[in-house]
Amino acid sequence: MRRRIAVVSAVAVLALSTLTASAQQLAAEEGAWEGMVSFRGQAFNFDGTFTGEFEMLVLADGSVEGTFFWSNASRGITTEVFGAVTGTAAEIRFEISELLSNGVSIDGASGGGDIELTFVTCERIEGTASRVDTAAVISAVNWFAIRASAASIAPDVLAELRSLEVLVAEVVRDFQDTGSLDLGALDAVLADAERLGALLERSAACESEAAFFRSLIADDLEPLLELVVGDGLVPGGDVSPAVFSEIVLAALRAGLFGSAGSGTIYDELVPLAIMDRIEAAAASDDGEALEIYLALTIMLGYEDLVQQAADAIVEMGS
Amino acid sequence: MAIIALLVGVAGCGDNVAGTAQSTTAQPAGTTAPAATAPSTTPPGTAPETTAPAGTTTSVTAAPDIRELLGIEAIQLDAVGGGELRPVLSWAPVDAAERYALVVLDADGEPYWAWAGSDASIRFGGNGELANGQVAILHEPMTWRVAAFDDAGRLVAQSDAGTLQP
Repeated sequence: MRRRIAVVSAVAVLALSTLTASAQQLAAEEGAWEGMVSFRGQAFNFDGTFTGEFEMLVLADGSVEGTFFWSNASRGITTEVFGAVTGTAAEIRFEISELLSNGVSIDGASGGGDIELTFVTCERIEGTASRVDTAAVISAVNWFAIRASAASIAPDVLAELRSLEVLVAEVVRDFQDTGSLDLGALDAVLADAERLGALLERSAACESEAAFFRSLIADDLEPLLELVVGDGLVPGGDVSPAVFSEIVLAALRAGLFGSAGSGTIYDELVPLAIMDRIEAAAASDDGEALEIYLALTIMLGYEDLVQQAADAIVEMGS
Repeated sequence: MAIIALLVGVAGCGDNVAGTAQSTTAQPAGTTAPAATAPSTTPPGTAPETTAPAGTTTSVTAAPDIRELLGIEAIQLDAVGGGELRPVLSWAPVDAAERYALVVLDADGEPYWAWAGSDASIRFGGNGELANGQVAILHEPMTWRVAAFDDAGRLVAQSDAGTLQP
């Protein structure tokens, strides 16, 4: 029964969150931005992952102007795509202007798509593509930008981040496929993201946002948390309390929830998931699991859950 | 009565930044109310103080009670000087520990940053360049705790809450 209540609560929170998100349109702040994009592209002569870069200027009137370049090299064919970044700060659009295949211009290359912003701060913009109307099938778009001033301070940061994202994807895919978590690899990508993040200065516009720090790889790590607290299905049905705790801590470290995040759905889902796990551990007299959840809830400051876990332990011992 | 005192201590485990102990109402054993909705994650130190029946209110430091309940040892946190946005957080190593977990709570008692690893120290926001870039920084008074786990993932030690001043 309590499980059902927890699920109902989670659904309600999700619905509320969706309403809140749709009511508040995200928009890039004024200024110069540099970014990177990766996506999967499929067409008659290519099928692979594209990576690229873009730069854009958000003007005072909210309009956007800029350029992008994507490329892919596979099976002896190098495909390059050039275009313009247009639209407005809230509705950024990319328009393809030229497509080269092994250096030869392909006639009739056109089309574009919208960038749906998913996370915005004064320092960072993240998004994905929607309403794509290109000849190629474009999917799994990851769009990321930082202030151009920050990029000039740490000129290799975007390239390093792109390499790091490959490693993060391996950790996540490994977990999705096997249900086992490579802690060493997870620690390494988190630490590397923090190292890169430290290189990016906070711009003057962000001085008042002293608490902001969302990890550069937060978006990439989200599927990991989703698998253990959301609707995702972990291979094998479940993960151990220790692995669950590691993922929760990694998510907090990356700013996916907690006060340094941006009020995400996970602020609600994480305690709900812990509550469910405490109940399950209590029902099965799993004292070791309860001890781990007790330690986790104490550290996270979840007082009600601390009490719940402690009660269960005391009951087991009585 | 021992169990009641213990649970009172557990409920007040979330030390606030000022480190003041909280007063709570002792519940009769076995009367814990079921959590019917999403659990409250009221920030420690900001929860309204409840009135206890005469003679049952007590102020305790919670962590020793937790350790007593679980039969685990204490982790001694090293003192952290003020004035740094990214101080080094360190603690006395625990013999049986294979891995440590650390969580920092902000001034409202909300989780702010975490870390996990085998070392007995970490710089606030992560090791690496000592820049105040886009990483977690100590921008307000906070608290931190450390737990230690053995190679089988069992909890073997836990610290009291330490305070951090920017």
